[in-house]
Amino acid sequence: MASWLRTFGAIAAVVAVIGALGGFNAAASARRSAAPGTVIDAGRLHWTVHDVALTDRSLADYEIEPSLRVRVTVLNTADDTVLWLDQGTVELVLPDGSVLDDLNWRSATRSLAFQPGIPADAYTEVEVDPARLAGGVVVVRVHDEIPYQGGITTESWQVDADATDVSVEVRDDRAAR
Amino acid sequence: MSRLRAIGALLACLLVVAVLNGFRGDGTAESRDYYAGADGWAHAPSMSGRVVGARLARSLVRPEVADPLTTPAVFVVIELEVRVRDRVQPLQSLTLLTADGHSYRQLDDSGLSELSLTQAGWTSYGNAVFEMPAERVPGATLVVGAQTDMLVIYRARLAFRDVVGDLAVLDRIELAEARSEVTR
Repeated sequence: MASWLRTFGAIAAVVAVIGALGGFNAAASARRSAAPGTVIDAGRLHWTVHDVALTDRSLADYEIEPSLRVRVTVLNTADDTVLWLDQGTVELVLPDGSVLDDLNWRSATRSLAFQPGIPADAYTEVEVDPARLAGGVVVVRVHDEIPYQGGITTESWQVDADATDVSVEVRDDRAAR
Repeated sequence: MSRLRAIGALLACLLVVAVLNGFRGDGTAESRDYYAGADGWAHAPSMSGRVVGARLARSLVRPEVADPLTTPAVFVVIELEVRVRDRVQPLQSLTLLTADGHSYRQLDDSGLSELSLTQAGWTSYGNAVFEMPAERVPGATLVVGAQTDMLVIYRARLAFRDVVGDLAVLDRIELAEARSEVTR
């Protein structure tokens, strides 16, 4: 038999065995639930989701497009200052099932940095079509972070599939129309 | 022959990976810390520095900023003088290392009058402001130098042990403005 055919057959056999043992199946991720105001242990950061509001005014009180504003408190329990978070660390799941994951966290009064041992109040604002909020409940999904050491960089943290869902009724803070 | 080329290419790739991992930064191993002597000055090849003063406070009044900065913890304000000799220094990566193993980056809120990028032959005066739990302040070491988060070849840092000492926490302090001048 041609050598290439033997090689192909060997590879196919290995792949078949891996598949039979479930090696190609997506790893099951843990999904927990928590109420607003509960402290969520997501690894190095502990999150408390306070509320979610639909608003058309910024915190500086100027007009903005309709936006969801999520307020949280974050406690850094790691050894080092955390200056940024990977995309997808926190996601917003709308009533229609769509997921918003590119969230920019800020402080209302100062430059945001998560210093070890100091709770930091933060918020994020993301524009949204109010029509997509029918049902009025948004899920704030806080993913776990796990240590990662690899490649040519120092140890860092990566977003894990495991997460905690906080279901929050959206408060309508828009100006009376 | 083609099999030998394939093996050679694979070995070359593995060699590159091994070399790159050899330069992987781990935060301290590739750095050299130059500690302050009895006169308070720390001397590295490209720069020297000293702590002019240190204070602790719960709120800060910043030059040209209306609202004071407040904290539920404590602000550590360290005034520094840094003389740069032969290579421009960014002087924007300052860290406070606590005795219990925590690492705090300096704050970058507006109006803190921190040290700025300093050219060779110049001296900069400015503040390094940190925010931390009060119980972690005693015994903290200030480190002035390049931050190691990515690939590291070499870096030198100025280091000042127990930079704060035993100080009372003030309710409010005013920050001095940063400045630079040609080194005399």
